[in-house]
Amino acid sequence: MTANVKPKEATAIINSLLGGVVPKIGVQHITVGRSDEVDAFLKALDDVKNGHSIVKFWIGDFGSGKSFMLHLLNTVALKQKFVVANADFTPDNRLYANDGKAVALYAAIMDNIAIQTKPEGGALGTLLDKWIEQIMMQTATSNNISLGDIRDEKHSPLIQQNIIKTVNEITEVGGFDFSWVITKYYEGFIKEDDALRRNALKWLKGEYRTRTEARQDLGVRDIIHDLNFYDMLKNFCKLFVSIGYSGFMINLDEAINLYKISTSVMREKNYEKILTIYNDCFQGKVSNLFINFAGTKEVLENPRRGLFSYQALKSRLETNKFETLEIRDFAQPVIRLLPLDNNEIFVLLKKLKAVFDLHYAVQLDVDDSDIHQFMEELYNKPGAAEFLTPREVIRDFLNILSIIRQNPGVDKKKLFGEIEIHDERPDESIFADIEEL
Amino acid sequence: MIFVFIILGVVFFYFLFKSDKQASRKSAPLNHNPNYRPTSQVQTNSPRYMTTEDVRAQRSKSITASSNENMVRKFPTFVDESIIEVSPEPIPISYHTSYYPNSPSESVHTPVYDYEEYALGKKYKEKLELTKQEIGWLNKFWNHANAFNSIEGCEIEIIRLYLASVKRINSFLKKEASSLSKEVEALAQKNIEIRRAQNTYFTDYDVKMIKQTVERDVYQLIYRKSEFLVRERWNHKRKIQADFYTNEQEVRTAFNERLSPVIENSIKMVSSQLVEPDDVTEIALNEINPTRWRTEFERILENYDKIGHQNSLEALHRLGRQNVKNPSVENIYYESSKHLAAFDKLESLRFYLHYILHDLNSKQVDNKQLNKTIQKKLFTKQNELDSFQSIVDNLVKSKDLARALTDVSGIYATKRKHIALDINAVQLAEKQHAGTVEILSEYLKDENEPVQLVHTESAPEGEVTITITSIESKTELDVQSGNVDFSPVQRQCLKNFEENGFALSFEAIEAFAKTNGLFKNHLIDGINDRCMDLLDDVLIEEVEEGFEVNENYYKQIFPA
Repeated sequence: MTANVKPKEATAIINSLLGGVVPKIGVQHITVGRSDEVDAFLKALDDVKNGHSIVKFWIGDFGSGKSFMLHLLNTVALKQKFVVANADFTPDNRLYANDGKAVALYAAIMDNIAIQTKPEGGALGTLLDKWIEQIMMQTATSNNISLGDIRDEKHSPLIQQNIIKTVNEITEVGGFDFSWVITKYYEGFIKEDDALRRNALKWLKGEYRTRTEARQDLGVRDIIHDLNFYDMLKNFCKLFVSIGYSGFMINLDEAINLYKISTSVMREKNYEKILTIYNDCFQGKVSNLFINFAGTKEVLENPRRGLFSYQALKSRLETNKFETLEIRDFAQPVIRLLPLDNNEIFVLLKKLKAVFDLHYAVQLDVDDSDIHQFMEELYNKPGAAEFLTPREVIRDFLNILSIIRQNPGVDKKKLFGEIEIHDERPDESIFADIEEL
Repeated sequence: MIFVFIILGVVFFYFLFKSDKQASRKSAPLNHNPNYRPTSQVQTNSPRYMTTEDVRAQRSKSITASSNENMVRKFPTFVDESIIEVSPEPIPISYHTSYYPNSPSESVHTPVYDYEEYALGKKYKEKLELTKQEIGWLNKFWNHANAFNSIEGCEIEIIRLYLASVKRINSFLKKEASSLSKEVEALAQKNIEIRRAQNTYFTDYDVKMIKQTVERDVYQLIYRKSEFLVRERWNHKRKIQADFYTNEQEVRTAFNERLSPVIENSIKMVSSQLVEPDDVTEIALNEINPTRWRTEFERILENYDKIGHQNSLEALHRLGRQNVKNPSVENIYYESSKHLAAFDKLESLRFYLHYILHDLNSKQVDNKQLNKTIQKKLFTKQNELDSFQSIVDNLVKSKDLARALTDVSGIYATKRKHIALDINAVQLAEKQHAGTVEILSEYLKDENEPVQLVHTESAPEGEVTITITSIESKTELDVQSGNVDFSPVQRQCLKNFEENGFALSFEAIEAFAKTNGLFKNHLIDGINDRCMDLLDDVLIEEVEEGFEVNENYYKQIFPA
């Protein structure tokens, strides 16, 4: 096996994994045992790039690698010129609400918008600037105006006309207000009026709570609220594509928080929203949109509270009945992440050891039998069967490598014997308190 | 001749007297008067043989006259007076002849009867090393055997309590210049007086009988109260009556007012001397009380925390041993198993094995299963349940409890999980991983990047050797020589950053972009895009007040 690992990737991998987080770069080198899943989402990305829209549900137990997969998706999508937004469902963020919780989710999504050059999020302003610059350049080119002159106020009507034209092309619902606010943003851009730009951004991010306030600041009649935020997301998706991006990927983690909604009516409304998104994506009503949900098996399959409690979703998300553990179908909307088996963990640890050696430019005296022994010790620890996750295996392994590197004469067996396993799962006892209303 | 007539005369009178006597005896049953007495014979002065009643009356008179004051002290002599003389020429009783014949030839009808042979005093004289006084106290009544006091341990404990009580009563009464015997005598005297007043036909025999009865009743009452207490303390379910019975209300009242509280208090005070039954007695008691174990079982459970786990286990095992003859012994082990499931899974299983064996040996095999909740507690893994089932099956077949107990010890022993690695699967995973890396690298590809080749080769035996070869990157050299394809405006922009401490405000960048006929974001993104392939990160970052260039990356691109 030959793998290309760049030194900075090795550094990022070791440092991030020691800290218990997924590395920003080089993540492909630790993607072991997920080749089918990777193929599935790369195919999905290609499809989205080509104008399709897709919804995927990443289902797996605690420690099965849901967040890792979303991170990997994120990394690949950014490289593939996607605009990516990550948000978690929380008790205050959901898809449907009438008390501002849905628009709170929208605000979280818009706040976390990332592009390759701004992977940490907060790229909405950059994207708008970029788009306006594009419009200005297009206007300049089409009207034979130099780039230096196009900023003149006399050309503003031309630019505004083009902005409105583009916005009208891409918007369906709420297009007037959307284009009005974009125009305001342009005004601020041209006039270097930061307050106006900030207000326009505030509106676009769904941060206005009252129409009055928005009218005072921007002269706009409506705001983004619980009921129209999804339309705005679709508008933005089209806008990003028009800027030149491959699509808009939204990753929504912790779907357990929808499962935990205590009011069955409200829960069903949220599931209904998922159904709307699902139908829009797969019926071609929206293009270049890729939405990923991540949750546990309970979230999907619980017949009383899970997605399967909503019959329309159940019929769409039910597992291919011909699928078995051996014969998998990754083309389904639901991708089940099975825990890595021992062989895959072994390969992962071996790879990590190689990356560790590369990072520190050493050749540690840890061979395959040592790795095997480490695994045996770890899996024989009390609680291993219940609590052990790849995150802990990796962290413990790298910690031991770190000790061995700094203390070459140390007894490896003793180190392996000192491993302790802790329950790092979130407190599930709160589920017991959920009251059905 | 005269002499002959005299003899004939005597013979005649003899027969005459005899025929009269027979006539009076024959006519007596017809007379319903209980006071009937042939007065003619009492009044006559004719020589005759004394009847038994005459003898008793005469003796009674002499005793009453001679020692009226020392009645109580000399009371035992009453007992001797119960010997009835029925013949004019009494045949002396041979006390040297045993009642039972020593040899088959000897007659069993030799009536040598020891009146106190079965009295408690004689029975336990040697065993309990009793004093004469204690023997006397014990011989004052007949012991009526029952299921409880037939158990020797119980009987001895009752006797101890009884003797201690009597001593206590006497020491209490001594303070009042009295004694139990005096009190009994007084009670008897009261009874006698009442009876005498009620009945004209009242003889010394009645007096003696009343005294004997009162004495027997009082001492037996103390004994029965002692037995009652022992029964109660030793958790014998069946209780006995321990009341003072007499027909005379006044006597009863006198007893209740005077002696009863003294007896009650004394027994209560000496009850602390009661000891726990020994194992033999426990076994015998549990045999006749099939549910007696429950009291001790509950006590052990209540004090579980106090006496500790190990001591509780020993107590439960001991309880089982003490119920070895109890037909319900299996229930002790079953209940113990249920209880211990929460504290000690292994011991719970051991007790259940005991239950299985005792159940098999009982008259009716109940085969009670542990309920599902307990089973869940005991067996978290299916293999544990399977192993235990196998042990139970073997026990049922062989009834070898010792072996089953040994086998069950290993049921929870941590079985070291062997991680079996399949070389083929490992190679397949490596191959798939390589494919994943390749395809992902394609999607994440960076052109002209420095590469470290990491070779991981699998040896035929499955051992894997990893070698790392460092390859000098061409691109790195290009970069080091400043060979990144920046436009002149981008180079100028980066130079501005360098001159301004690698940070510029939004306005400055905007002005620079404007001057060069460009847009701010377009310019910055253009630079970042150029570097992205090399750095895998952005060179210029947007911060709160403007843009910053990562100095390390900058030096990497433009080495000094």
